[in-house]
Amino acid sequence: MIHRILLLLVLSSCLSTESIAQTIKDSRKAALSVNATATIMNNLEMLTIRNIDLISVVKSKNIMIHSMKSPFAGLFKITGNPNARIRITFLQRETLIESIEGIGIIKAEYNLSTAFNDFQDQSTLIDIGEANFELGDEGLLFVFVGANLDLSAALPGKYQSEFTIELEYI
Amino acid sequence: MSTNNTYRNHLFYKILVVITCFISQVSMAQRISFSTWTGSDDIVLNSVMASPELSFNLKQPIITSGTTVDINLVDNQAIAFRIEAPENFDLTVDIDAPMFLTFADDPLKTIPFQVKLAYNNMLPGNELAGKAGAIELPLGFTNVTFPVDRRTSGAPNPVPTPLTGAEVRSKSAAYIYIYGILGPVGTVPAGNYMAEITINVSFTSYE
Repeated sequence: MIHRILLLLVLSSCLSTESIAQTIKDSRKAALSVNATATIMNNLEMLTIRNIDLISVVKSKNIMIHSMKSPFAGLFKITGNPNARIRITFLQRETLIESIEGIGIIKAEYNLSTAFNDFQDQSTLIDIGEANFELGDEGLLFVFVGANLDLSAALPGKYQSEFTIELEYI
Repeated sequence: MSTNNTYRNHLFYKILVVITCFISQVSMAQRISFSTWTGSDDIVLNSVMASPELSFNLKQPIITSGTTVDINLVDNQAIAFRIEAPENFDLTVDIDAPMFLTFADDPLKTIPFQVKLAYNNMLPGNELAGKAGAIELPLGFTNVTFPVDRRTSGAPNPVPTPLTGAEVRSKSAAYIYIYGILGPVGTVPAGNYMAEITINVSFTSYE
């Protein structure tokens, strides 16, 4: 009898090890997710310093603003990575049609010249629509914009131009 | 003779019982971490901002190659969270954040990112007031344990008693702040970079 009781005790103590052990798990937690974001841009910026001044030019059948020589030339400033090479592409020729009646025509031809600093006389002429340049040590490039406008077929009215210049790293 | 045998048998079983009891003693021990006994009260983690996002562009609108953007604790761009939890308990805050912000289109393009964490458990009125006395964790540490409300003096209170009936334990609010350093931005394509930061808040268990 005693044997049996003792055996039962042994068994029960073995069995009970699992069931008696009791741990209280902490289920109360709070979690939240947030995002960290950043938008990276290519640091090639173009700033318009001066517009092409057509009003000051003497009215005639032709308006000639030379990008290297004319004081009425427009001026852009390009800032980017120092010594990076960039490609400049621009619209070279354009025909402007009078926007209301559509009869008058102005033929426009643009020319650009570039320099590392704001010295128009020392700038280099780009007479085709594309050129590769290196930004200077300071990452600066100045672009002078001139235009030849042929007004021989122009009638009074409203003309709009969309001169496009594109810059990209190469 | 037979009495002697019976006695030996008894002795054997007694020893067996004692040994079994010893073996099973470890697992039979019952431990309760009192910090987990907060009754029905939970931790409430709320953003104090409408749309919490650690946006580096808010600090520096134009981020380009070669730049490093550092959002500090004092900056408005640091995001704040309010933790409401029962008084007298210790909280563990764990921030899980990747080391990089990843480009959406190409996961291999990344920008280094280091998350930083600060907390204020001195019962500030709001998150802005809390910034003044917030304790900043050194760079690289993303895990901290602090009491919900810090004692200014004296010994800690006795262990809180379990709640009975409809008793409600009073709550306190602590604030945590998340900010960090982005960069230096390498030669990476332009676009959006993102990382997910997970904030885990739990009662500290000393088990």
